[in-house]
Amino acid sequence: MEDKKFYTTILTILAVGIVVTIALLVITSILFKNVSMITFIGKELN
Amino acid sequence: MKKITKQIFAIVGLVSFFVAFDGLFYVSLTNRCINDFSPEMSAKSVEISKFLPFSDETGIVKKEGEKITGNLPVIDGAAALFPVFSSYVHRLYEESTVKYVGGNFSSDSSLIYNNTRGAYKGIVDGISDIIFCARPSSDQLNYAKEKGVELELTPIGHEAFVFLVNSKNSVDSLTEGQIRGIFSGRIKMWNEVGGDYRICYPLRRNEGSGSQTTMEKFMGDEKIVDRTLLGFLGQSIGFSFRYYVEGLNQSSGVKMISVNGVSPSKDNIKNGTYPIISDIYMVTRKGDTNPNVELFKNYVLSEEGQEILEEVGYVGL
Repeated sequence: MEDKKFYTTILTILAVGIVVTIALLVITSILFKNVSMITFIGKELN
Repeated sequence: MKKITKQIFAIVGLVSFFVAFDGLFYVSLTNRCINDFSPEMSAKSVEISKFLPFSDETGIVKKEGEKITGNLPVIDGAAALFPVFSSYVHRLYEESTVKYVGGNFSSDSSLIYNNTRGAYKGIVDGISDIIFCARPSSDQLNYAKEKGVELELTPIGHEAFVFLVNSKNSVDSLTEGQIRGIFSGRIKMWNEVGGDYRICYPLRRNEGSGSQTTMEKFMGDEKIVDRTLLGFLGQSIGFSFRYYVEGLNQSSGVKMISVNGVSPSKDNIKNGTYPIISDIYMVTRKGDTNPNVELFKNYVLSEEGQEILEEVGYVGL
């Protein structure tokens, strides 16, 4: 693969990955406002 | 290694990292926030369709007898007490006065449901006439005062205020001081109170809800600490009323802890050994001239009225 194409691919993956991570953070913070306390505690990972 | 192979490894490695990281993030954090209930139920906090009066399949206590007629007081209240006041409406009112359509009570129904915050606002605004709740918050009392309404609180029974952790949390009992320590942020790790080496993550409810008001009273001068991002990765502790946890929201993932070594059982509420007991109230407007308000109240405090309360699962006077 040409160097330019490789680095473009890497940057694209980084960008998509960061966007998905931020989207998950935002979704979690929105859902957390309405979550049932009992559901939240019951689903805790231990 | 050939250059192309290294490049492929780098791309696959980066994609795998994000898949693993975001997958772990979703499973450990986001997924916890998705309710088992529909959005409506998460707001209402109880599946009222399972506790309707006059329904063939209902979880209320059904007693029959003479009905109240004339100007009927409109009944409302807290989620945890819905089965109680629904049972009273079944006993005292005609079926035609309760109007439940499409998952909600209509505005002219003798029984409505707005949960604690809505119920306290409604009784001050004249939308309801008798509500069943825990004690009001200072904001709710101030609202009543601003509107020139004096609320009358009549105790009808007792309930344990309980603390909840995940069933796999190794802690089974805390002292009152330890609970205040956790919720104020003074105690940060579970191993400080005999648990695992995990961050304590105290939760809170909406301002004005019955359990939040009771928790703030329990805390006294100490404030409940704000949520932190790191705490999200820790082990949570929440609070509620015993009947709500045992009766309405049975979940195998949650357990109630003992306080000062005493478990929150009905017997321990009755004998007074469980240390955090709240009164539950019938709330009316002082000076309400509707004679049926007094009739309804007298019934609730009568022997049969108290039987209903006990059969639902609470502890009577």
